[in-house]
Amino acid sequence: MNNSLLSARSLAKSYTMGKRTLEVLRGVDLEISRGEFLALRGASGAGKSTLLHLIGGLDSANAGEILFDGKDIAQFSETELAQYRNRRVGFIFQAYHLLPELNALENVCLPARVGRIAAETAEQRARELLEQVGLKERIDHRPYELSGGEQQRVAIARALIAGPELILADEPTGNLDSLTGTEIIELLRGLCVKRQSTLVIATHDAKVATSAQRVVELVDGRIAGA
Amino acid sequence: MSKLPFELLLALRYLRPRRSFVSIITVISIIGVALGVAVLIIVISVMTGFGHDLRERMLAFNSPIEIQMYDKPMDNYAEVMRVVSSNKNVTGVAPFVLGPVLVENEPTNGTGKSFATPYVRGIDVNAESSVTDLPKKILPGGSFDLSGQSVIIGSVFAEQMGLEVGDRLSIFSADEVNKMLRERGTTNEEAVLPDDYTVTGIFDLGYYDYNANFIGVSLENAQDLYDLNDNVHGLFVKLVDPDQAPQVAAQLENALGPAYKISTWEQQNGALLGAVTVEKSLMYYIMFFIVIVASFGITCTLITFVVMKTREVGLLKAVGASNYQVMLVFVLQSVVVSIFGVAGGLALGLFAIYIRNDALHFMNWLTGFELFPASIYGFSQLPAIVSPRDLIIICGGSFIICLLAAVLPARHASKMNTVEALRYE
Repeated sequence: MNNSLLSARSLAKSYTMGKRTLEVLRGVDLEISRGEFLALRGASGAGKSTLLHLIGGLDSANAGEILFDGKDIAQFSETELAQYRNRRVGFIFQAYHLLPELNALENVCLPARVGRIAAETAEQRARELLEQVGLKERIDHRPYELSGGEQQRVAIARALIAGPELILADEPTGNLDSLTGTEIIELLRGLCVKRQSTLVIATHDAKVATSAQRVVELVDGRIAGA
Repeated sequence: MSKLPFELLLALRYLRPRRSFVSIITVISIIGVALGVAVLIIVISVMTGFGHDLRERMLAFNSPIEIQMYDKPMDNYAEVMRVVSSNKNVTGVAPFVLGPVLVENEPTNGTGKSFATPYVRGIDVNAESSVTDLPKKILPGGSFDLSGQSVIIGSVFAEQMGLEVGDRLSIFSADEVNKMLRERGTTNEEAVLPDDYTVTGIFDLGYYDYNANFIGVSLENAQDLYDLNDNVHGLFVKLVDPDQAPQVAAQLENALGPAYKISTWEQQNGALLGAVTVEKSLMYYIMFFIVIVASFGITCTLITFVVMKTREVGLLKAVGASNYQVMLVFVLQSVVVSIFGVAGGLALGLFAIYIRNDALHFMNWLTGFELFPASIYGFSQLPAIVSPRDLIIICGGSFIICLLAAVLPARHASKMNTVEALRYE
């Protein structure tokens, strides 16, 4: 069995702002193996988030291709792309992005319910996950009633509920203090190992990167040393 | 967690956000739709009631079909009545004499007008109840008695002339006045003396025009007034179903031949009935614009929502919601607003219809101005009929308009770029 989960080739992405064109990625080649914990390092503006967005199917590249499990995600239909984001990828954001109208349990259930998993099944899974991230007692709390670290734990549980093969975390500790950040990374790593999920963390924090099996550095839209 | 689909769950949660002005905007949208629906229900129900009552009151005094002869009185009416009665759709036939007369009053109380020119109707006392409701419309204190020199008069006519039951009045027929004018200056010249009648009953048909302009005498007296001998002006024909009048008229035309002029009540009152129908259709169009304007409130509310929830839309798409699912979240919000708005409007409209006459009297009292004058509309009470068909059209139409109002903002939300939405500040 091929051990490569995702393969990005010659990825390029630019944004046009008025008359100016900003080249964020300038030909990125990246191989990600199954079960791997990869840290994507780079200064602010190096293109880490953009690369994660492309890999996660949130945005499309101007050039190059992304093969997930051997399939080019650029060829996916709108529905297939939505299913890809829902079932195969779990996203964790720096700003957590929890829905304020929903409590912790409902936030965690959201991707499962979007994917039309039965309410009972989704709730059971969400309770297990919230227990695993240490929030068993806070399932009824709304996001504004939780600390930053707790909100990120809810976001981690949400990313895992649909059982995705690939977890993409974009500066997950960026809004947290150092100690909480370390706890979050350890929690995330432990959960991914347990579930044999692949974890890619984009970070500018060297300490976070040291936890990873492999570190890839992005500099000015290119993989350093490539 | 709720077992509701997440789209509906989110839509409901969005509609009752905590500590937000949005809930007030939502309430305003609901009130807007409710008022539009309520006004539509009130106006259309009154229009329907007006049309229905107009028909009812016309049929209380007129029959669905009238048979006359071209250019002359009907001389063989007993035979014609026999032929007409044999039609299975006919439930009653009565002869009539109808024409204008000059009336001079002799009120006991010394008030009222001296002269009037109403129409007199010669009534066959035995047959009348089989064709009109007139015998049942006599006010207390009088009776449907046309024996001897008796006359029954309309309530408005009685009031204008200052007449009461037991008062006397004089009737000059047009034929007699005409005869006097013709013979004036000739050797046969003679003065025409009016016939004196006693008022035995005052009728109220609930329709101003009839109450003001008609008086009734026995068929024999009317035949005398018009020098008809045993002839009559025509026949009133009552049917099992008044709406069958055109078909039955055609059948009677075949049975009686071309010498007879057969007209239906809808032909006679075509202009008025047509105007009422056209007015109702027009009201539908005009009033639906109120709902359309109210639906703009929903559009504005949803645009505000979509902008406020941009980052959440980005998140929904990031966790795999399809464009259709995102769209559904916002359309369902409109569905909920519409359901509350339409249901509220329905309740408000039906309640307003229920208290309409009290409200009208209150408004008359408050403004000191008669808002629904009987002399113009012919009704002393505000009529209304709530037809299920109208309610379905109003509620269903309003609901669809409100859903369409949601399409633009919902579509905008569904087409958002995920990454840009997530970064939205």
